[in-house]
Amino acid sequence: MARYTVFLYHPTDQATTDPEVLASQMAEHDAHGKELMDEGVMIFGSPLEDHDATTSIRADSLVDGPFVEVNEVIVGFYVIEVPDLDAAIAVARRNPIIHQGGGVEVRPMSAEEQPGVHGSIPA
Amino acid sequence: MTDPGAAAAAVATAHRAHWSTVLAATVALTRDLDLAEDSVQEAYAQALETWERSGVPENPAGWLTTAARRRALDVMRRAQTLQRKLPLLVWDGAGDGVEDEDEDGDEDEHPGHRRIEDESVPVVLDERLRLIFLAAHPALAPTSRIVLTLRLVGGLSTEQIAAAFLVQTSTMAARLTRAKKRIRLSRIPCRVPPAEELDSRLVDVLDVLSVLLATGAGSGGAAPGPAPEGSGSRAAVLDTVVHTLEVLVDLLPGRTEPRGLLAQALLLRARASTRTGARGRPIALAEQDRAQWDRELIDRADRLVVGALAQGGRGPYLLQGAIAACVAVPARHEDIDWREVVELYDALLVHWPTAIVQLARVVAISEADGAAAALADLEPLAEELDAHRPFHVIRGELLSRLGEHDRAVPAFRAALERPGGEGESDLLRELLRTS
Repeated sequence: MARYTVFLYHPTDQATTDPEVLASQMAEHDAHGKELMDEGVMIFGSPLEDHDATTSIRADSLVDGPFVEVNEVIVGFYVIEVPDLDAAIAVARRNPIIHQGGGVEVRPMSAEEQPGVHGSIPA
Repeated sequence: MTDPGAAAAAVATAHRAHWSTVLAATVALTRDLDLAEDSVQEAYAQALETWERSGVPENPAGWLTTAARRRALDVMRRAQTLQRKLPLLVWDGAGDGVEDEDEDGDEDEHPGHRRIEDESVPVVLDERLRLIFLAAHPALAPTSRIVLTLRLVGGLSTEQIAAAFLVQTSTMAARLTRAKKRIRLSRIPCRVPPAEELDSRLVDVLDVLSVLLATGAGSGGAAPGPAPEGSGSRAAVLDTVVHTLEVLVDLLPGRTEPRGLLAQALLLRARASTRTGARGRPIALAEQDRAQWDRELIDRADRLVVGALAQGGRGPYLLQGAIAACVAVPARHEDIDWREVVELYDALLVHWPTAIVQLARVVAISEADGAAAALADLEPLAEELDAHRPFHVIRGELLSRLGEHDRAVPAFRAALERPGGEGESDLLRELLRTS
């Protein structure tokens, strides 16, 4: 088995402000997350608060804002455990953000025994 | 003792015919592409020596597989004692880690993975499909798919692949390393896709082979004069395309698209010697010497197309194969049924509604309905194809045929300003001088 992080991206200039739409989108994500937990695929996942709330730190500065200014920002992420990339893509492809105007990025994580990997969240 | 030439020829034949079979069987054991490739390469080197001394074995693929796997096993045993840990290639049914092995090497009990014990056991061929689908995996960048297919399926050396694409060997080596690292780190599985994904994944494979076919087409044929740079490597590229398609046709008999692309590749090869003349000058279809075409290859291509159409295939690669067959099969140029060619292009446009396909259709229209009708269909493509030399060449030819030389000359001049082959440029310059 291998772990992948799935990052959820959404364009900043197309953010929905209508609270009803937002609520229904979030409900979709909530249901999807529950589904992945029930399937035993997801280890951990969470939406991120508005990217305006980001603090960036470099050796010589502390800045109110994102590390890199881009049009598409990460709005959430989750960690899954599956056999291979085909399985990871099959899971990530189901993410509701894909039909909400955004997209996802699948990144393999280092194997558990590799340096830098700490802690484990029971699935 | 075998004649050294005979042994070398047998090794060369075995390289073309069995590289991917031997590699697949070795990857099944190592789950490490680099180690498997090194072992297979060494096995071929060993074959050259041994076959010269003790004769060519009855089953070369089996012999090579055994030799490659033995070498791989040696390395793996040593690596195990060094506690070397690299993520292993994902191979269905396989757990992580290197299994303990018996001395005789019959170690594999994984489902979906057949055993190849020694040369007396017939080698299972369908493991090659795994490599074909791995190399063309959609998560890989298009250029990675192309070079990996040549390497893993065709067994081309880094030097050969670099020469075929006219890049430095070191550049190509880096590209291959990156592609293989991507497979390892992302855990791209080495497997034949499940039934529900097979058709879309097959399209990915055929797209790669189609690009390679265009590259291999540059290998020319028996054209007089010195061979252009990289032409030997491009012939090896064409070999890989034909070989891979033969495997797909054999192992996926229910699919018609591979047969269409194989027909195209065979027809290209059948006509290779007459497509260009001295100094790489292209020769118009009507002027090519059909007597020099390889009839056997043409008949084989024709049977592939007819059979696949009868089976109900109507996919884009089959339609292209059918078009190529329509043009190549008749004994005389005058006997080509251009009406049918136009209809096949109409069907192809449903799949690929592109300006390039439209342009090819225009040429068929000019034969079926005359230059005026063709020109009317051509003009709407002007904006999209302005940078494309063939558009201007065809436009110039149509205008010439209509006697509009004042308009043909600027078209040929525009063609000459667009990038294209040197032989064709010569031809265009001559046309401009004489018109």
